[in-house]
This record gives sequence, C-alpha cells and structure tokens, in this order.
Amino acid sequence: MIPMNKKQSAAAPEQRFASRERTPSVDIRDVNHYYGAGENRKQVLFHNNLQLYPGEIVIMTGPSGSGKTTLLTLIGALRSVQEGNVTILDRELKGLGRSEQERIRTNIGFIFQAHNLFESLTAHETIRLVMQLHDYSRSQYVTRPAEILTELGLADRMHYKPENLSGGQRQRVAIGRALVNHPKLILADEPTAALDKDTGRKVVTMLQERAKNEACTILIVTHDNRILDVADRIVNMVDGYIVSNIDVAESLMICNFLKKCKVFAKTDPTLLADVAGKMTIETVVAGNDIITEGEVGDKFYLIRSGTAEAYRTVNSNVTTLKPYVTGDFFGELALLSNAPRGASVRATSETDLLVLDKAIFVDVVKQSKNFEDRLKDVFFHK
Amino acid sequence: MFPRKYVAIHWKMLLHHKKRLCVSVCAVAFAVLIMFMQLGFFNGFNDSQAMLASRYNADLIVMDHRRVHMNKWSTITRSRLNQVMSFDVVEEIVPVYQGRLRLRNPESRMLKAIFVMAFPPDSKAVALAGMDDSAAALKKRNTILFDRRSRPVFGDIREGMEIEVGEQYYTVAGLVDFGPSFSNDGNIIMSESTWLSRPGADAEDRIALGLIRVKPGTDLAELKHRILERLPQDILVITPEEMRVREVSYTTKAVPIGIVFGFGLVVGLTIGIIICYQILYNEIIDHLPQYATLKAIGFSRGYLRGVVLKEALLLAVIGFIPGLCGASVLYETVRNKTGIFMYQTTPRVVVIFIFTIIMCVTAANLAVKKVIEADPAEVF
Repeated sequence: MIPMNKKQSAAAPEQRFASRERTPSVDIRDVNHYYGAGENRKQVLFHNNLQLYPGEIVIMTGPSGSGKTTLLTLIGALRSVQEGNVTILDRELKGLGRSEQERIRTNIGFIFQAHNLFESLTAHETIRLVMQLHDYSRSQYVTRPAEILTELGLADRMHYKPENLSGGQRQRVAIGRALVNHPKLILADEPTAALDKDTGRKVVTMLQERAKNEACTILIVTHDNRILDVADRIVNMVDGYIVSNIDVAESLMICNFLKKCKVFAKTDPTLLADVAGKMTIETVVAGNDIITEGEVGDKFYLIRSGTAEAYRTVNSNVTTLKPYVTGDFFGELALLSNAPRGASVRATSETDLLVLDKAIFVDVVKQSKNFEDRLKDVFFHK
Repeated sequence: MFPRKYVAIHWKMLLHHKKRLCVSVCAVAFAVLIMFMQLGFFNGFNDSQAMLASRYNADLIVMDHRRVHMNKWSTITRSRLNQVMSFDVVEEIVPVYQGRLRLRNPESRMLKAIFVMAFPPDSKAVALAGMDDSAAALKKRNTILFDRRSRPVFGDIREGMEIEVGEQYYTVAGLVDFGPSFSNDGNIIMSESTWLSRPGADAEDRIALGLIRVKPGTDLAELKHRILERLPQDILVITPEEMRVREVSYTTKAVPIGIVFGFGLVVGLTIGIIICYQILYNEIIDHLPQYATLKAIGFSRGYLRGVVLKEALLLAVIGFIPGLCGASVLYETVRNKTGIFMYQTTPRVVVIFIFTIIMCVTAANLAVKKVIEADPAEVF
C-alpha cells in the first residue's frame, strides 16, 4: 500500500472519463458522520466522496468498524445526513423528514445480512407484502412473486414458511424481496454469506443481470472474494476513509499502460493497482501545453486518449521531438532527477491525461526494488 | 376485501403461534370477564334496588318527604291518601304497606329479617310475573306469597307450607318472582288486611306509599304541583320512573357500594389494558427485527402502527367472545346463588365491547411506541 495523506481521498470517480456524461444514481460529497454527542462524539466517516452510476456493481470492502455499514445506511436513507451531501436517484437526502426518508426507501432494494423474515409468512407472502409498497394489478400480486421465486430456484418452496426453509433458501427469499419491485438501487450487506458456492454464484449472476438490463446500481458490502469478479468498481474503506475507489476495467487498462513504463516494469500488481487508483484525470485541449520547458516537474503523465508531442524552443525555433499517443507516458524524468523539465509537451488533439502527483510517484519508485538500477536503466534508454 | 392482494400480516402473525394466541385470548377474555362482573354487580345493585320502583302500577306515587330512598322506612298517614283522593282527576289511590319482619327458617329455626309488602289483593299494585293469578289467593286471611328467588338463608319454602313470620303463622299461597336486593334477602307479599291484623300492627295504619292512578288525559306535572300545593309539606309526589332514577342515583352516588363497583369497572379496564399491553409488547419485542426490517424497506410508521392496531382489534374481538360466554355462565351462577339481578342486556354487552376495544387500542398505542422508535439502521 502506498502511505497516503488521509485528508486526501482517492481519485474521485466522476473524474474518470468513462462515467463523465452520466448522472450518478448515488452521489456522496464530502460526507462526515459522527456518533454520540458532546464529549462522547466520535467521528466515524471522514470526507467521504463516492459516485455510483446506473448499471454499476460496486463492491465495498474494508475491515469491520471501518464505516462501511454507516455509509451504507446513509445511502439507504436509514440515517440522517449530518455533514456533506448525499443524493440518491436525484433526491437530496440531507434534511429530509422521516416520512420522506421512508418514501425514498421504497425505491431501494435492501438485502440484509440478517434477513429477518416474518416466521408467519410464506415465501410467496413475504414477497407479496413488499409489493404493497407499489401499485400492481391483482394478478401480478400472484404471478410476480412466483416468477421471482422460480428464478431464485425456490419454485417448490413458494408456500413454505421460514421454519421449513434452509438458511440459504431464506436468504434467497430475502433477495427476492429486494428485487421484486425492480429498484434502481440495490444495497446488499453480505448477500452471499449464507449461500454455498453455486447458489452464491447464481444470486450474483442475477444481480449482474439486473444491473446490466435495468441500469440498476448495486452496492455490495462483502468480504466474499468469490464474487469480486462481478464488480465494476471496488471501494475500500479504512477507519472512516474511502482509501481506494477502483474502477476495475479502467484500473486494468491503466495498469497495462503503466507496465510499459520502465519505472513500473517490476512493480508488483498490488502496488500498481494502488498507483492506478491514485491517478486523476486532466483534459487538455489541442495546442495547449501540458509541460513547459524549464519548469520544476511535479507530475507524471499518462495519455488515456488523444495525442501530444514533446518539443523544444530554441531561439524561437520550435523543434518537435517526439509524438505521444494513447498509452504513452512522460514527465517521469524530471521527477526522478529533480531537474527542471527538459522539454515542453503539448496536446495535438483533445487529450485525456492520467496524472500522478510527484510525492506518490517518488514513493512508489522508492518502494520498488533496486531503485538505483532502474534509474540508470531509465537514463540509459532515454 | 382483497384476499389475494394484500397480505393480512396482523392476522397471520396472531395465528402463527397457536399456543400463544390461546394464552392471549384467555387473558383478554379474563379482562373482559372482570369488566362484565364489575358492571354486572354495579347494575345488579341498581337493578335490585330500583326494580321495585318500576314495578309499581301507578301514575304518581305519594310518600313521606323524608323517604329519600327505599330503605328508609318513613311512612305517611292514611289521611294524606284521602286528601289526594279528593282531587277529581284522581281515579284511584292504592295504599302500599312496607316493613321488615323476621321469618323463621322452617329447617334451621333461625330468624332472619325479610321484606314484607302489603296492599289490597285486587289493586294490581305491583306488576310481577304470576302475580295476577296468585293475588286472589291472598284474599284469604293469613296467606302470603313468597318470593321464590329469596336467598336460601330462609330455607326451602314451598307453596302450601306454614311459615312463621313476625310471631304469626302464615300459609304460603303461592310463589312469585321478585328477587332480593343488596339490602333485602327476600320478599313476602300479603294482603292489606293480613298486614293490618299481624301481631303488633301499626295502630295508626301508617302507609309506606300511595299509588295514585289518574283519569286518562290528566296532566301529571300539573296534578303533582296541585297536590304539593294543597297538602301539608311532609309528602313527596313522584312518578315511578323518577323514583327509579332517584334510586339509581342514590345507590351509585351516595352509597359507597355503587362507587366501589364503579371503581371496580375502571380497575378491570386498567387491568385489561395492562394485560393487553403485555401481550402486544411481547409480540412486538419478539418481532422487533422484522418490524425494523419492514421499516428499513420503506413501510411507513403509519403502516406498522396499523399492523399493531389491527392485531389489537383482532385480539379484542377474539377475546371478547369467550369473555362474554364466561360472563353469562358466571351471571347465571351469581343470579342463582344470590338472587342479584345480573343480566347481559344488549346495551351492557355493547358497553363492555366498547370498553374491550378501548382497552386493546390503548394498549396497542402504548406498545406500538417500541415499533415507532425501532431504528431501521440497526438492521444492517
């Protein structure tokens, strides 16, 4: 892990290129949360920023007590927002009354670790009960629960009460309860904890289909690494901070770019992923300088998309040195040697750049083995 | 309504634990029973006291002004009746004698005071079942009618028996349905002449009540006014209905026993509320995670309040039925054992039903606070 200043949170995903045009279904901005009052007041969330987009499955991990559940309850309108803003499905949650919170919750699918089914209701009734929150035709009250229970492999258990269902079956009923109203946001707390491998996989696949087909946002708090592969994004929380927020596909792409850079060639994947997570996006329009010759270097750049070129100006004569395309990087030399920038770089088309701060960059490099060797290697190849 | 659409969760929850439901229903039934008994005693007391008033066959009743209730034995002189008779609209006035004599139990030979009422046999002074047939028998000297619902303390007295009342033997010519009250254990009816010839009879022929019967179309209020104006101030003129109301209000307000049962009713209601609260509270505590889950999912507090309230109402209705049945059995027993009038009239059943609903709804409102306060965030 890269030691990081806690006040500085991970790269905010709205800056990520892929999601830039869409409205997030969950938008958390600078949220702080406290428990207790007076002298016992204890801060449990620190400057949390998080955006979740339609169709995304986000897995949140972190040690217990890291604030995951608190954040989940804030998103679920189960607690009042104290500081910062939480917007869910275009509704600002801050300052809402209890009745408004209740109304918002009807549009969220909840999957709880403790499913708390009423022992007096059959699986079919449990699901029908939740349908009462919305309007359905009389026949749908019969067919819908049946459909969803069949989908969950409970066709033959439809009219069983919880006492006659196994733990996994109960959990599936609870999942059916969360899915039946086709919510645009699903919040799940360890949804696969009580399930065996195959059933867990089936449930996760179902969630994945929901996300893709209905542009539903799914936030899963889990320690189950068997289901990590479905995540579009992995958010890690420690001590009330969101320490990383990794767009899996994006991160994979960045890591592949970074691996081509000599500095990072031998960096282990964990560190690399960390670096990827720390990079921010900057967009530069065609013709503008990214780096100016002679200035002190403080950033490392990677071209996510677009084109750029390095050039030098000698006596008003501009000499183009080198073109850069997607996946190329520059700016590391000045950071490694602490020398001023040796050349300017300008965008030749509108360019999205992934940017890494010097402090982090140097840190990573230091952590990499045989630093001196690689430094020389870099000098040699330039 | 929509049997397939909405899930009647309150109903399902109540029915799920059969054993618990039984206990709960029994508890509610018990509370209902307590209230029925208190109301029964309360009304029985009033009924027994006031019953007589509504049985007098009269338009107006004249009596001593000091007789504020029927257990005060102040009497008036016969001359007052003659004075009343002098009003032209008064068709008839029937003298009624009342007093207490000691009856000797034929088996145990024990003496015990009994209420005696006397009037001319043909006067139809009181409306009692079987009275018209038996009245003729009273014409014979030293015959009496015995109240078959008198308390057993007087012994097993039957038609044709010779019994000793006030040191004189009388023949039981018939049995009537009268019923004891809280102050009288039994009743005897005799003719005016038998009364007047009893040992130690009142030399001045003092009379307990005069039953005034008027010509049709008489303005009773006006007549009453005229009587009071013309006669000396030692009398009181009231209608039988006024007398009944006066008796009820006297026994409920002035006599502690009426208040005692009134309190009993309130205590019964309170106990009922506590029992119901306990039942609902336990039910809620057991389902708190479920309620919190429903809350988290988005069910409103109003919905949850409704669930608990409906549960309470169901409990009230289910518990009321055995309570009602139990009470009728107990009423019957009390009636047979003590002769006190305890009947489940429709208004009284309705009153207790309303009390039961109040009881359960109050309990539900107290217990539901736990649900309303449940923190849905605790579910995660």
